Amino acid sequence: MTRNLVRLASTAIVALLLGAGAGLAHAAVTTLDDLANAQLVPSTEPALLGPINELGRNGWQCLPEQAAQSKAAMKAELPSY
Amino acid sequence: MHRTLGLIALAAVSTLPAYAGAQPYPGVTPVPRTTDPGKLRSYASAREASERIKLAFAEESRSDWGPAGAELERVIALHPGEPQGSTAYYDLGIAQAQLQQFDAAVISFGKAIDLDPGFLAARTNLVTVQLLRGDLAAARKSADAFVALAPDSARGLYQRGIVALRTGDAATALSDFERLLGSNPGYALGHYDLAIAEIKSGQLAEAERELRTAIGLAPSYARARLALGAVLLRQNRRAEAKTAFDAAARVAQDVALRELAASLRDAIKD
Repeated sequence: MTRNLVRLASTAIVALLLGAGAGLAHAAVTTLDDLANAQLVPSTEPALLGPINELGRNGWQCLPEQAAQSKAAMKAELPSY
Repeated sequence: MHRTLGLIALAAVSTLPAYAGAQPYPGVTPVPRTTDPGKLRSYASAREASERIKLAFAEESRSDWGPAGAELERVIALHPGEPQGSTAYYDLGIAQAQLQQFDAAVISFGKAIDLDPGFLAARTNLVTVQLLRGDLAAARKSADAFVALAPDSARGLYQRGIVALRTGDAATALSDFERLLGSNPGYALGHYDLAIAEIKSGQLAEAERELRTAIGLAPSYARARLALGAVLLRQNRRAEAKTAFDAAARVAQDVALRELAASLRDAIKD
């Protein structure tokens, strides 16, 4: 009777340990995936365009207005990596 | 003989297209001459506004945001005409944003746009400030208005794409970044953000392709390498993901990013 009880308790402990191990392993995988997925974020917003002089945005050298309307990313003052 | 040569020269000049004879510089602005007190006050006010904007512009160029803001407040109090009015509000918005007064900056850029609806620099700065405030709904509304006015603007497409990604609107982000890359296939960040939109849409193969394109254009683009690792991990391609994280750790200039990439690499067991 005592022997059976000891065997049952041992089995229960082993099962518990196995379960805990599997849980820990699962948690580790979840953490890795979560951490990796957390890196999938959009780029930053572009910085503010600079000030404009007294001639206004229609001045022929108004760089901020040119940057705002440019089709070319290079001229649009967009962020770089 | 001389008369014949003169006639030939005259005939040659007369055959030139009209634009060839056009004056490339504008004519001299006539100096206003009046003794009317109202008109004199108006001229003086316009001149003062112009000079104060000039001063504020110089101050902002030196990052003296406080004095520049005060100067521009005085310009606005003069109720100048255009383009000084919208310019003063625009420059004031920049000074306020730099001083972290984002609510005030939103109002200033908004007033610049009210005075001059076609003012694209004010529209793009308004979107940036709204993003800095964390007001994504307002940023989206402003970005939509910007793109409606300038559908090909690289900045407009980029900004709206970023706002759309942050609000979970992957369809708009996909469309905007595809259009941006249509004109700018060499812009590495555009490929990265398109990949983020594709990941959000569940298009992992397309995202992987875009990230590899971004890395091909910019081999030291650590964040793109990190994202590639994450995409590969999602597909359970662990060995390839580990290689991608390792490459990210090697090229990252930013210490935090380098440590993060190294941690992700080391967490993948062979």
